[in-house]
Amino acid sequence: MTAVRAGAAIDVAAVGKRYGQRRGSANVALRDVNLSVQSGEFVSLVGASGCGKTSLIRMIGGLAPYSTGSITIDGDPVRGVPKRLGFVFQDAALMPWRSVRENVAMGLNEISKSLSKSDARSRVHEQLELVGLTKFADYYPRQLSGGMKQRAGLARALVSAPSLLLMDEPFGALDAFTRLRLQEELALIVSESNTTTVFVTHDVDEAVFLSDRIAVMSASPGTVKEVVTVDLPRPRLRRQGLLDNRRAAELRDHVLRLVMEDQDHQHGSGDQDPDSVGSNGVRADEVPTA
Amino acid sequence: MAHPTIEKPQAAAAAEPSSGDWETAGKSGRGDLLRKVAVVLPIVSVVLFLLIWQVVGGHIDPILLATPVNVAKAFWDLLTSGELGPAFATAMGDLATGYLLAIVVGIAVGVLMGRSPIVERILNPYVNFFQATPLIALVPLVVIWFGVGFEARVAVTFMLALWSIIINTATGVKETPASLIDVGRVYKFSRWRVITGVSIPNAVPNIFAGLRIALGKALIGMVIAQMEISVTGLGGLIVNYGNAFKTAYLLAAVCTASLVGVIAAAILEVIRRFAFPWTQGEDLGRW
Ligand SMILES: Nc1ncnc2c1ncn2[C@@H]1O[C@H](COP(=O)(O)OP(=O)(O)OP(=O)(O)O)[C@@H](O)[C@H]1O
Ligand SMILES: [Mg+2]
Repeated sequence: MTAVRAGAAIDVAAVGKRYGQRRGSANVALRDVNLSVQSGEFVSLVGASGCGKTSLIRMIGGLAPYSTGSITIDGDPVRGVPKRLGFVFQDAALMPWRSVRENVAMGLNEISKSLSKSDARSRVHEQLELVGLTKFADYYPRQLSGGMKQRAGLARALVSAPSLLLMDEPFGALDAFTRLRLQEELALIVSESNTTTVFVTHDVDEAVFLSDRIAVMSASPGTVKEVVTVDLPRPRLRRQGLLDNRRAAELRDHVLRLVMEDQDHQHGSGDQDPDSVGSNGVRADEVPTA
Repeated sequence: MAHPTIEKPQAAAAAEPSSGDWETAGKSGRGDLLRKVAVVLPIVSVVLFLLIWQVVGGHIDPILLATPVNVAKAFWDLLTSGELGPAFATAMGDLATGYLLAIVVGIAVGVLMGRSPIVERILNPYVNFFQATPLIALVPLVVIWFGVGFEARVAVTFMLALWSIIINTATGVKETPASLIDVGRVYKFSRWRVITGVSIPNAVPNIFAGLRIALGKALIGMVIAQMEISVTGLGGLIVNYGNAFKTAYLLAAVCTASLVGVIAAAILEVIRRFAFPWTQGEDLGRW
């Protein structure tokens, strides 16, 4: 990989976001969001569907404007897309007319001038290998499964060794095994590089495994409710060891409780929705009694 | 016509044919039979039609309707007398010139309209007006402007083909998924590259749909122009033999005109397959 650069530092201060004023009142998606991410840090965003995770990550990436407050990256207010950004979209977003290889190579566009052709080729090859798509390099996206598309999108985001990596549910469409493997790969990449990462997920276990801190968001209007520090030792390279780690279980339980509190609050009653437990990727029998 | 009944398995695009190609996997038994029926069915249909035509035509005044055999004879006659070749060439020349001009102008205007809401607002009334107008009615005006030669015929062909190309191109460009535009922004594509590398490729399937519609209209324009403006080419043959009540010769010229259309459509399809192989996914759902 390339020389270790300092990752970007993000500061989100009192940010609000409202969407179009159609049908009477404005749709407030985010209100008074505060979050700062240090250089090289890995922060996960978890929260109920619709609480504004995608909105927040898009604003950090300069893809959508914020209505109030300020977002700075390395001290500079975000106006447009910041330098050296990698972005994994919730729906892969591959160009249907480009092969997998060409789609991944697109991630090198910004730094293509400083890169020789053979360098670029070997970087793309390296990434394809990492996500296990070497054999499918010349396929078109329509010939791939959903999970394969997502992996190609991941490779495109990683190929330039970005200083800021924004990921919107990158592993959402993957099967359990590939998911596990890519989580471990990502953990390795993040521990080796200095990339700052903001990672949206619904899977609390995944968040605990990967993150330095987890920002739990609540809905309507969306805001960061609590930031949980994951005080597990690093490097954490195996999911295996973490599954039966006591502290990890406690953290997961805590984060889950925060998310579900919010959902119960939203539903206006205390009764538990068994589906919401499943959708967080944790089986009920896994949750230890505190 | 230009649409083959069966899509070949798309192994050409796949780099790794060994990796479990599902399209060849299920190719046995019932599927195989269906495939064979699908090949034979159109042939049976056409042969049956010609037979009925021959029988019915034999009992009717040859001025009203010629039999297929007589049409074939007339065709051969036209071919050997040296009348058909030049007419065919004139038809192809008129069509190609008018149609290619319409492609260039249509795609350029369509891209502008698709990218810029202002240009779209300005041009939309005209595009919708001309798309809805029976443009053939403007032939006399075209004669006043361009005379009765090649230019006038090209103008009519162009005028009929243009609008579908504009509309389809604009739609395809406008409907570029926002997430793909975002990809361009994240990886710092220039404005120009977002247009040429994202919006236009995204519009390619729509553009080809527009080109197919426009081809039919261009053919109509070309034949009408040859009949009404210059009395030359295939349209000229049709008029002259019609006036002479030589129905078999008239129909032979008509068949040649459809041959022009079939050839043009085939060329279009070949270009699509070779230049844009990634557009081939559309028909996967048909058995
Ligand atoms: N373009 C838009 N126009 C109007 N409202 C929007 C738009 N995008 C999002 N919203 C609204 O903003 C809120 C947050 O949406 P967002 O996509 O950020 O949620 P999310 O947390 O990413 O959800 P999920 O986990 O389901 O992906 C939702 O209430 C949604 O209706
Ligand atoms: Mg989302």
